[in-house]
Amino acid sequence: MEFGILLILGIGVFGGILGAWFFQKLHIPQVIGYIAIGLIIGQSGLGIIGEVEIPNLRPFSYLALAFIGFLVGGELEAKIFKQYGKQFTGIMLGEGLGAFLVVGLGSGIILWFITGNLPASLAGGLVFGAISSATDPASTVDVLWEYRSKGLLTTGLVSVVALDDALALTLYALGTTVAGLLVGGEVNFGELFRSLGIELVGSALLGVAAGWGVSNLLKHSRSSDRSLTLLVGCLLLIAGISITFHLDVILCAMAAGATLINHAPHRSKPLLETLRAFASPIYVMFFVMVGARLQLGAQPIWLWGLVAFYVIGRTIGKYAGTWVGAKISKSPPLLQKYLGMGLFAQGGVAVGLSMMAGQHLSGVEVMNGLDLGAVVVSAVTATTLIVQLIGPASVKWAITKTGEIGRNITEEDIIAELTVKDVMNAEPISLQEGELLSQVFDKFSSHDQLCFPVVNTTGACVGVISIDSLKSLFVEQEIWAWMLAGDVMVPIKQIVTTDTPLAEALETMHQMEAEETILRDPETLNPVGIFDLRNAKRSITKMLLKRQGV
Amino acid sequence: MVETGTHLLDAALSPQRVFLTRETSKEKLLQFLVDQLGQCGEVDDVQALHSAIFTRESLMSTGIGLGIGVPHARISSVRRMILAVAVNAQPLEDYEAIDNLPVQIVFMVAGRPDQQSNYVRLLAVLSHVVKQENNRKAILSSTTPEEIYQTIRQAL
Repeated sequence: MEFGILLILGIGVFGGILGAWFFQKLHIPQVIGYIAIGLIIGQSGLGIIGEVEIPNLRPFSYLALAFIGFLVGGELEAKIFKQYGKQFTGIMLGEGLGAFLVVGLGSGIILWFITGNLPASLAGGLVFGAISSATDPASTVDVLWEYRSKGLLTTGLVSVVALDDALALTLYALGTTVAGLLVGGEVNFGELFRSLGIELVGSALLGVAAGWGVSNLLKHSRSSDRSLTLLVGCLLLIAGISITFHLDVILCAMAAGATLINHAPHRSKPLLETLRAFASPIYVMFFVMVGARLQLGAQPIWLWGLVAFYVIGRTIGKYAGTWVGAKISKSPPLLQKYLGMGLFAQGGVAVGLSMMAGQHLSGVEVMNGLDLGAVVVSAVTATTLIVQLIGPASVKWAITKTGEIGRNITEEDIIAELTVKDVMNAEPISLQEGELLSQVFDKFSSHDQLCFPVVNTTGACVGVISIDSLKSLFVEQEIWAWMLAGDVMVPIKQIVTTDTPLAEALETMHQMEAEETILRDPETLNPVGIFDLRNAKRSITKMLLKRQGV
Repeated sequence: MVETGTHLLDAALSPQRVFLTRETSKEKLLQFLVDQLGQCGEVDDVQALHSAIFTRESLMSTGIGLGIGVPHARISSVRRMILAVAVNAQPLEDYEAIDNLPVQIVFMVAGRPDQQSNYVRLLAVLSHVVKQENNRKAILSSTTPEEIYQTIRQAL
């Protein structure tokens, strides 16, 4: 049965969200849920997304990569690199080369041991090593966003995963060149480095130009809707041009995002937030596609050994390499200890490189009927599945250990979580309606309360006296001795209740031009709290600073 | 907007709501004034006004001293702020004023709940007028409601 593209997208996004919800219940990052749903409905599962659909959905994956790259680039502010540029570069070289060396050497030895073919094994080792150095920015950053992480480790992770794709591409170009020499194929060094240079430099140049252009266009956009449309259009162009000219979509989009955030930080930050929300279903589908594409057919037993080594070796190489790079670059201990744990995810770049290697090395036979290209594709596919399950969980572990979870939070986030009762003064001091005005003034001067509920003998709140209404009484001192609270109170307008969501309550107060209101028990009418904007804002700020770890 | 004393008084009081009375108790005088206010067409629910005036008295007497009483209430069945004045032939001993003196001049004010500022302003103005001895003497020596009305107006 063939499914239309729209139905597949619907199944993918809806199923992905359900998977994410299920995994979140198990405290597992949502990205694993998306991939798991992809596995179920993909080539290795039900086949809803099969051989026919995957190529049709490829443009969608490129667009998702453009979004991801752009948003990752949007986190790369120059001030971070001024402060930690040396450290992040050291760590990136350490983790990339660490994985390259451990996986390269180990898999080369395993291949040699299995096949007895030294040149092919060395070639395979080089390619495996190069591929293993790439870290998947998409799933790593998705975990950071999901858990609203903020801090030095988070900044380090974003920076390193953004940078190490370039390293992986360079190592891959070198690796396949040497591999080609080793297995006796025709290798044109000049052509290979020229195409690598065009890919890296071209991607960066196109990205910078696109970022600069969009930044200038945004100056003339007065509405956020139009700005978002402009940005999405720009990303479609970036993805399209990159594919047409064989550039790297994610690098190009990253360069555009980094250019925009550094060229117009104030204008672009809220826009990037909007884009992130807009891109959410695109991400979901992207990761579902990652899972759907994974094809785990029958493989020789030794290949699983190679896969196991690749995963373990890459993990050790990444972690140890990070530690060494961080030590040499004199990075803070927090980065030395935890950053390596956040770099295990492997995704689009690795799979893409393995596909290229599959073509480059398809003629190199390692065993009877099995060529090196197929070994690389199968092994990288299998390792991607395993590492995509381990990687996001490790990122979560690292940001949990460093206490960075939940710190990337805004005032709006806090407000969205609260109701009026969370920020109200729950122990209001009341005035009896028979209290003299002189006593009312005494209470106002001795308590930090902007308004007082006025209660009758049964305790029911019958009115309110606010500091504003008291101002007009201040000059009429001759009536203080015989006027009562009940004479000057004003009726209560029940504009919010204790259970009203805070955002709605603030909006209502704004519309009513009210600064404070009394909250009453709906049955007894006794005052149960005072909701005043000054104290509510103070509580929100306090909660925000606490959550941000300030 | 808070209005001036003269404007407030002109809007709230008319000579037809000034009375020379011969009541024998506080309760009777207050009932008389409630009835008069009820007849002026600005009170939709006279019973509610009666209840509000007497509830207020139960909290604390509105005898503010020097022989003056200012019973008052704000209720939603009053259309606009209105005032009635009574000068009783005999001072009322049972008024329980704050200085324990009998009360002879009574200003009854009825307003809407949302008229807090002007209501307080009118009460303060009346208090200021009658606390001056010459004004009190002029009111007490007046022989007609019109004369009392003019005395109050001129005192502002």
